[in-house]
Amino acid sequence: MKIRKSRLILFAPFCLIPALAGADEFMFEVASPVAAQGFVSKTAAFVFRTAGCTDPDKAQISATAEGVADGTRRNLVLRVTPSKPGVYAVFQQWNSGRWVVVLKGSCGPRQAGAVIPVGPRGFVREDSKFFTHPATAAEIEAALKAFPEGGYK
Amino acid sequence: MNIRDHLPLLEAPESVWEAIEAGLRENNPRAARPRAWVFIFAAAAAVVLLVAGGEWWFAARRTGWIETAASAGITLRIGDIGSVDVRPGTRLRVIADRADQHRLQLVRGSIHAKISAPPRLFQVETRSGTAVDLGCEYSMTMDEDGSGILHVSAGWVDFERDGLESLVPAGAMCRIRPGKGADIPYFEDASVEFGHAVERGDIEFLIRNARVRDTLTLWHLLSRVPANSRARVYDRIAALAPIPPAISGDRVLSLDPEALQRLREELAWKW
Repeated sequence: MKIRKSRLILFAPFCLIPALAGADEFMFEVASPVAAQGFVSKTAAFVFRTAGCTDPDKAQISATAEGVADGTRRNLVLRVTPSKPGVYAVFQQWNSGRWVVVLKGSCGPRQAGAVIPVGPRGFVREDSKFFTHPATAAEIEAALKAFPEGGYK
Repeated sequence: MNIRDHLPLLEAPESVWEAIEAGLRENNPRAARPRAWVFIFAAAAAVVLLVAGGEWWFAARRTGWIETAASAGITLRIGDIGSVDVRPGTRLRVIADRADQHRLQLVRGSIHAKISAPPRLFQVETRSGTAVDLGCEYSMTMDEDGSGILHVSAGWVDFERDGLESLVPAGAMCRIRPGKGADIPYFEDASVEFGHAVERGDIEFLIRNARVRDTLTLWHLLSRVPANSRARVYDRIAALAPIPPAISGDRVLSLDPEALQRLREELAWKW
């Protein structure tokens, strides 16, 4: 398994963090770059934010890319650099293969996870999975196996 | 190919040089002084012509018309910020080609722009409005009567006319109407019937059949429908995408710009 570091670039111009989840749920929300309305993130694969964290400054966020390229299972550890509480951008840093981005977060005792498939047109919303726990290995493998034959178009 | 490489060079008119040569050939008792005078005049004229001609040449190279043949397109390099593929049979004008502004006028034909720059640095004007690049990749086709179509494949584009804006994000498109500007945008993965409903302005169909991401279309409807329909559009938006309490529904319905902007920013998380 090949591991190398890549940088997760964060961008956060937003002033609104919605009450999307229940009061006790800490979750990720993912969107296309237009949601960040910022020049830096416009070429990102997607942007994401957290919801349900009463103190975003103290949220711990990490991201990895998990994939299969040239028949080999791979992962990339993405470095998290916050620029504004709660909003981040993910840029595609792989060339080919089937990839998902795995988000993991904690806000005090609460945890959140997400598995986001990424295709040539950015993230695949309908197949993205969101959890109130870090994604398990089985959930990640299931997402990779769920890629359509020939990949997303 | 840089825009400047594709524009014609300009030359000083021949009549000036003919006049200078005619003056030099004259047999005049004052030839000693006139010869010197003519030489000085010619030198001064040459300097003026070089300066004027150079500026003209410089200005002309920065602006001008480009027309591609029916069977061949070209690629224009837009400074250091990107490129524009100009399809065959396209006529456009370079209005500005500066470090602080790049503007084209698309009269007819198709272009595919791929730009990476701060917002509003690159703009494409048409008879029916202006596509303001907010950092993206898009294709635009225009007919000479001002009708056209805009497809955005990355980032987003703001199409503006007379203060009315259409925000077209990646995966969405909009039609451009002569004299009216951009229609309401919709996502290209919407049903064919939904697209037709947008084009004929069938508000009821759009309200009934909108998906969550079709709040893009519904948001644009808010400022384009009569007041008695606006509440139903807003209610449908709220049913599809929870609206935070911080956004006042009353202010949205009164088309308060700030409230509309905040609602758009929130809905964009669903697009």
